Amino acid sequence: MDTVRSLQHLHAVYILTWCIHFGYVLYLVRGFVQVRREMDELKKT
Amino acid sequence: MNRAIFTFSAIFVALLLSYGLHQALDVAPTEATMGNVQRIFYYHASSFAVAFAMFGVNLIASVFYLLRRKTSLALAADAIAVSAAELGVIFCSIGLMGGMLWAKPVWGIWWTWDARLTSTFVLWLIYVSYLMLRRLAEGDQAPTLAAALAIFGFVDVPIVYMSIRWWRTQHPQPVIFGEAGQSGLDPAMLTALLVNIGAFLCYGAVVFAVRYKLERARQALREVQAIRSIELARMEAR
Repeated sequence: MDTVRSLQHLHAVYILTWCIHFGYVLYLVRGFVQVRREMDELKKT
Repeated sequence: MNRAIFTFSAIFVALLLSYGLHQALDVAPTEATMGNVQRIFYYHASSFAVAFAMFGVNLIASVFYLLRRKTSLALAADAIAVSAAELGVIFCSIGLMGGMLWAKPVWGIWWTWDARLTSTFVLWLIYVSYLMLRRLAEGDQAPTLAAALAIFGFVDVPIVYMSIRWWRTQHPQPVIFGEAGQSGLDPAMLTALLVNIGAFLCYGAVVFAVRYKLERARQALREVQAIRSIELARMEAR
């Protein structure tokens, strides 16, 4: 088994996992900001 | 969620995940045949544990929604269902991705259509369809249709779980709840796995709470928008 490639795959899994989770958390934050903005606009009108 | 409780939970989960990472990369012994790439297992199995838990929550919330859709609790049940499905898909995607990256150096292929992998892919497709239905369907029937789909979709979860027991698969046999004496999992590996499953479940619970809060905020926004539309229509009619 190619040890170097195996390690690359191991690191890729750990890094990609947290990139996806971090991206999802950012998506949630964006969602809250969007809801807040739309609610504020509704209150103004 | 109370801000202090959320902060405490986030710090606790961050510490637990760090401990899980330490267990997986430093403490757990290197597997004799596969070497270090076997450490993918701790994230791969943990991700699927959370995905299955989320699909279970989605099932319970969907059944509740269908039984009580005329009550005030229906909206909360619907928010729970959609939040759990979305998180389930995220964790299932990570599990599939991890599995493929593990399979390439060990099996020499990224993917094979064996019973475990195929049933898991079908499960992923079912819940992606569920989310697409929620997003694209218009009208009041969307949550009801989605709840019905969720109930049928969950049937695939036990099939995925049992597939390696029922059929010959390229995927390895069960390592925790397998037949006696066939596990072969080192106690240190088992500890690392259980710590990571616990950490991922806690992380999943915290993110689920945040996603649920967002869905409730969206429901409140839609309600206000609907009321405003009715008010505008009345004003125009005068």
